[in-house]
Amino acid sequence: MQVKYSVGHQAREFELSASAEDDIAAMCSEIEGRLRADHANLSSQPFLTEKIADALLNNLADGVEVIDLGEFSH
Amino acid sequence: MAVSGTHVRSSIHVTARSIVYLTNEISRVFLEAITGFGLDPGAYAESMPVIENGLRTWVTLRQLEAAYLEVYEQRSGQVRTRIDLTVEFRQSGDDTRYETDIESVRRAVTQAGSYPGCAYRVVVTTAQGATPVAGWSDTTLGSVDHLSRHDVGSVIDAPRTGANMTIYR
Repeated sequence: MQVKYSVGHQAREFELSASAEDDIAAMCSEIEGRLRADHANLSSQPFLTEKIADALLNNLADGVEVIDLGEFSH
Repeated sequence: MAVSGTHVRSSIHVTARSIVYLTNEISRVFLEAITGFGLDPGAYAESMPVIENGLRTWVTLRQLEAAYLEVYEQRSGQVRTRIDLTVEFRQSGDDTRYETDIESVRRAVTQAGSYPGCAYRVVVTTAQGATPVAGWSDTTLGSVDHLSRHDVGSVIDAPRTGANMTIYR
């Protein structure tokens, strides 16, 4: 499953690992790990998990096949 | 393989809808109880974004164990009644079943009586190491040792999750 997001209005995307695709908690954890690894300045955001979980849930509940997490400001 | 992939995608969407349903219905049950107890739902409505954000986050991460509506005397802090919604997570279930037994909730609330002038708050218990959520802080539930426990049973039922209700009165 493809994940799209933007940081500082620069669009990014990556593919979730197949092992995470049947488990929302695992999806959330993988996305958070990826964002923290790729964007050091997002690591200081105290509620990053909460934002990812909310966006993930909204996307999946709508039945989409491409997850769009929206903007993560620095 | 294509069939397997379709199944997985369908399953994750059902799980997401189950989580959204559960969190919405926890609020519905608590609001039903608040009005049934003769209390002003205004405070709940004001805090609803924070409450629902916490519930959604912790259910998504399978970190929510239970949500409590605690009704207490403002002056003494003594708990007068409490509703416990214990959350269950399931691997499978009827993908079309989204039901809330609101009549059982109403009946239990009516039997508990009314508590005009009391205050209330929402408390949750989460798994150890649960992620922090904005607007929530650590607290301790008030004692219910002086109250009697009544199990209502399953009141919220969704394909991958649900909640059992207990009331102390």
